[in-house]
Amino acid sequence: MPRRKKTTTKETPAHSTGAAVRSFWSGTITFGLVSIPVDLLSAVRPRQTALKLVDKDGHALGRQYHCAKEGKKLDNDELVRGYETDDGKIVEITDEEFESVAPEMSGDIEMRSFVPLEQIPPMYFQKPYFLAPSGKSARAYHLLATTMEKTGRVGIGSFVMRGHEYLVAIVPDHGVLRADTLRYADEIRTPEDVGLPKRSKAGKHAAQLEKEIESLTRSELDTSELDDQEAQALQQLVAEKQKDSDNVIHQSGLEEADADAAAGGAKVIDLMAVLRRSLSKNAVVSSANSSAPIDLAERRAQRANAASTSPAKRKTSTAHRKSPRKTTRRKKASRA
Amino acid sequence: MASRAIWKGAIQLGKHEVGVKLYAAIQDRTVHFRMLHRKDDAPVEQHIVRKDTGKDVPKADMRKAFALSKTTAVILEPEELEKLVPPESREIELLRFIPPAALGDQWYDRPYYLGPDEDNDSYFSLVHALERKNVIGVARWVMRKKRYVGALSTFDGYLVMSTLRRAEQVLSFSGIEPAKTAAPNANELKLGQQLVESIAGDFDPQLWQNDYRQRLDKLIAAKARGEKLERHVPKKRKPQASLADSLRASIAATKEKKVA
Amino acid sequence: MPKAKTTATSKVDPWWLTEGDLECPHCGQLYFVEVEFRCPDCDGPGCPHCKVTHIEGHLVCSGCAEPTQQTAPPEAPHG
Repeated sequence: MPRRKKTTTKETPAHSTGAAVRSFWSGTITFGLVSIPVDLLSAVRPRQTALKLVDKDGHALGRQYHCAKEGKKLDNDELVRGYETDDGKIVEITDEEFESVAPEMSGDIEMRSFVPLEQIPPMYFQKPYFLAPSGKSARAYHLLATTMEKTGRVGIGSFVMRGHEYLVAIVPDHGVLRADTLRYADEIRTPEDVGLPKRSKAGKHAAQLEKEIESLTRSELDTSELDDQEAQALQQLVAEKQKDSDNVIHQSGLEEADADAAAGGAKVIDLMAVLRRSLSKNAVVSSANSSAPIDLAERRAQRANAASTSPAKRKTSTAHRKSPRKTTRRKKASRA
Repeated sequence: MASRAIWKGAIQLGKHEVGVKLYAAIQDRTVHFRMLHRKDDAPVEQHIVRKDTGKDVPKADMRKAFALSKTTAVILEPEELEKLVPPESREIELLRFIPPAALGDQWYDRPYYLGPDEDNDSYFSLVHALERKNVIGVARWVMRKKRYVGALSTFDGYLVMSTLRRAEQVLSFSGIEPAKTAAPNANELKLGQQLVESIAGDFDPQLWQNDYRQRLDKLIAAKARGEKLERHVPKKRKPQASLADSLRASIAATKEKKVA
Repeated sequence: MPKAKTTATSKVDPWWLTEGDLECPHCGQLYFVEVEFRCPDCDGPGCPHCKVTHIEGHLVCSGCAEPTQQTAPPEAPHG
C-alpha cells in the first residue's frame, strides 16, 4: 500500500476559492541535512471536454470487475495484481512486496544535483505538480525557492508514487515549488530509433523560411491561442440543449458513488486555501486563461471532488502580469 | 526499431509547405500489471454497469452525457457529437513564433518527432531556419478527428512537435510572500546558496536511472522462480536541527564527499 | 461498484482500486496514468480495459481497430 503521512489539518473548506485539487502523495524534500515536509498536489486541471457514460434514461454508469473465468462480480478484496513473465507465467505481487522493493524511495525526494533549468530539453518534461509545505516547513521552503530562483538552478531528485519511480525537477514558480516529473533517458527515443533519414546540411529554402518566421515572431505567448476549442464547441452544444429543460437529466445515486471514490484515499484540497494557510496569506491561484468559464470548471472539479457538498462559488480570477524576472533562458510566462 | 508514422501533415509558412510525418518519441518502459482474481489468478474484466443497480448495460443503451452539476447532465446523441468533429485536414498552422523562454515547462505534454515526407530539402531548410532564429512555433492541427495545439522546435538536427496543455489546464501563482516569521534571514540565504552551489552540476540524463523498475523486474523474476528477495532496509533519518545548523553541517559534509 | 472501506478496523483501498484522475476517452471511467495504455498506432491514451486486438495481432485502442476486424480480448472493451 502506498505509504502516506497522516495529516489532520487539510479539511476541504466550505467553499471552493480557487482550483480544487487532490493530494496524491506526501513526503519530504531533502538537501543535505535540511528537510522540508511537503504535500504533492496536481498542477494540471482536466480539460472540460470529458463526457460521462450514462444509459439512455440518464442513469449514471460505472465500472465493476468480474472474474473472466467464473463470470461473477468481484469485491475489492478478491482482486490482486500480477505480472506475466516472458514465458507466460503469471506472478502475483502483493502491495507489501511493492513497498518492500524500495521503502527508502517512497518518503523522500533527495536533491542529488542542482542544474541550470535551461539545460533540460523540453522533451524531458512529463507532468507538473505543486508542492505545498506541510507542517512547520515554510521557512525552509521559502529558502529553497528563493535560492533556486537566485541561482537559476533547479533540483533533481526522484521518488516513488503508486508503484512507479519518478525523476523530478523541483522548479521555483513565483515563490511556489513545482515538482515537474521528467522522463528517463531510456524513455526517449533517438532519431535513429525512429528511423529518421540522415541529418542534412542542405536547405536552399532556409533563408526564405527565416523571413517567414521573422514575420510571425513575437516576444510573448498568447494564451488565447491555447484555448480549448473543443471544450468551447462542446459548451455551445450543451448550452443549446439546456434551453429545453426536457433535455436535462436528473440523476440519483451519484453522491454516494462519488463519496465512495473520494474515500479511496486521495485528499481533495483547495489549492489556494492550502497555499494561504501554509505559505502566504496573499497567495492567488488562477489559470493561464482567466476567461475560462469558471462555473463549469468548478463544477467539473467538484464532480471529481465528492467530499465537498456546497455549490461552487464563482472564482474571481484577475489578470496578473509578473514583472520581468532575471533573464534565464526559460522564464515562466504566467500571464493569467 | 524503426517506427511507422502516426500521421502525415504539411506545415504552412507563407507560401511554403513542408510535408512531414509524425512519429512517437516516447518509449514506454513501464512494467504493466494486470488485475487478477485472488483465488486462481484468473484474469479480471471490466463491466460497465448502472451505478445504482449494479446491472450490466448493453452497449446499444449507452450514451454520453455532459455533467452540469453532481446531479444533472445533458445527454448528447452520437449525431450531435459527430457534428462537433473538426473537418479533416493535413495542414499544420503556425500561429506565432516565440523565444523558448516564453513557454514554461509546465505547458509541455507529449513530444513527437517530425520527419520529412518525400521533400528532404524543404524539411532540413526549416530545421536550419528554426535553429538559426532560436524560436519555437505555436502550432494547431487536426489529427484523427481531434484538435491539437503544439510547440514546434528542433532537437538534435530534427523537427520536434510537442503537444501543449490548454490554457484552462495550467495554473499560475502570484502573491507568494513569506510571513515575517517564515522569511529566511540573510545568513540562511547565504548558507542556502553555498549548499546549492556545492551540489551543483550540469544536466546529464544518463546520470539518472530508474532503480525501482530494475528492482521490480528482479522481484518478479525471483518470485517466478519461487525465491524470496531480501528487504531493503531504509536509512533512519536524523532529527532536524535548526535550519542554519543543518545548512552548515550539510556544506561541511558535501565538501568531503561528492553528492551525485 | 468498487466500494472503499474506511472504518477504523479495515484498510483503505490501494490506489489501483481507486478512481484515478484521467478520463478514458473510450469508456469514460477514471484511471491513473500509471496504468495507462497508449495505442501504438495513434499514440492516444486510454484505460487498460479498453485495449482491443487489431486484426494484425497487436493491441490497439478501440478507435484504431477496424470495427469489422475487432476481436474480443480477455478484458472486454466498452463505450
